[in-house]
Amino acid sequence: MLGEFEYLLISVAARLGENAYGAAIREDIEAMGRSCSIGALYTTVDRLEKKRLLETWMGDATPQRGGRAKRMVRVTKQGAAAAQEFYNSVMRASQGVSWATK
Amino acid sequence: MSSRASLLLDLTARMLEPREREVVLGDLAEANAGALESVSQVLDLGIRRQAGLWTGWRPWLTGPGLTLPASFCLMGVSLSVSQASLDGGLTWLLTQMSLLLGWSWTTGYVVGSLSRRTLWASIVLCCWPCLVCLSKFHLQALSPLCLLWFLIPAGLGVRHGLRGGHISRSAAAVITVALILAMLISWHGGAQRWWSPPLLLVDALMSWPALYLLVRQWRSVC
Repeated sequence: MLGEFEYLLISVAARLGENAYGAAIREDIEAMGRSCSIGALYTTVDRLEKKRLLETWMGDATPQRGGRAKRMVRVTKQGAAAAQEFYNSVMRASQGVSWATK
Repeated sequence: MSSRASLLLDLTARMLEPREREVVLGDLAEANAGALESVSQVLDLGIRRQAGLWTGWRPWLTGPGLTLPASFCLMGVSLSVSQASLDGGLTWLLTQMSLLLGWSWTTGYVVGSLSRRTLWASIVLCCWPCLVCLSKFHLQALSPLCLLWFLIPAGLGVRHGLRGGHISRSAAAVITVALILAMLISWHGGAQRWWSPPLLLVDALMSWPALYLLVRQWRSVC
């Protein structure tokens, strides 16, 4: 079972698709109002990669990044399945509770 | 970002592996992060990475498990070599020198190859006993620096280990056999070293890096 931050990271990476990499994922997570340090991001990415829920590889360098490479992220089939399971569990657990019906 | 802040960021980023350093500094540049934020973000990741390393067995084995006790023992052997050079026989001197070289180099190699990213901790755990013993050294016939002979072969061993230097199975076997012979001669001579710990206990502690090398090379071939 995923943790909350792991689910968030997988969801954002899935939504970004081909453009999923460290800085973009962090920006999206912070846009949701949740703080996301680089330390938390990359240690979670590593953990998910070890569980084979994510794949990462080195991407292109851009002038915007001072000529430094990106770490690209892709959600695997297992990652999507784990996120689906987490989502279903949260939805089931939320049925009938006051904050879910507002 | 000022040059000082940039230098501080570069120094902090050395906590990270080169590939990760590139990625993180790129992310920070893309996010237009300020100097303070960049340093704190890199520091945060570096501390998390170090903490992650210490959840494994390697840093504990090579740091408190090997470097700390081995430093005390190797200072004793260094002292024995210096003493033997003054008033011991040639056999005793050669035996002690062989043990000093073999034990120091193999210990350094194992520390360097098993705990690259926590080497700083092993260095601290080596320096601490050295400083304690240097401060308490009071033999007039010898210089306190004679305690530190072991640092030269140990440093060479660490360097070889850090570079991932290969040791052939036959070289590992020769080192191990030479050390065992030196220990047997040392026991046969019946002479107690200058320092007090039981010989057998010290020899067992100091021999496992060589045995580890031998077993590792043996398994890599099989």
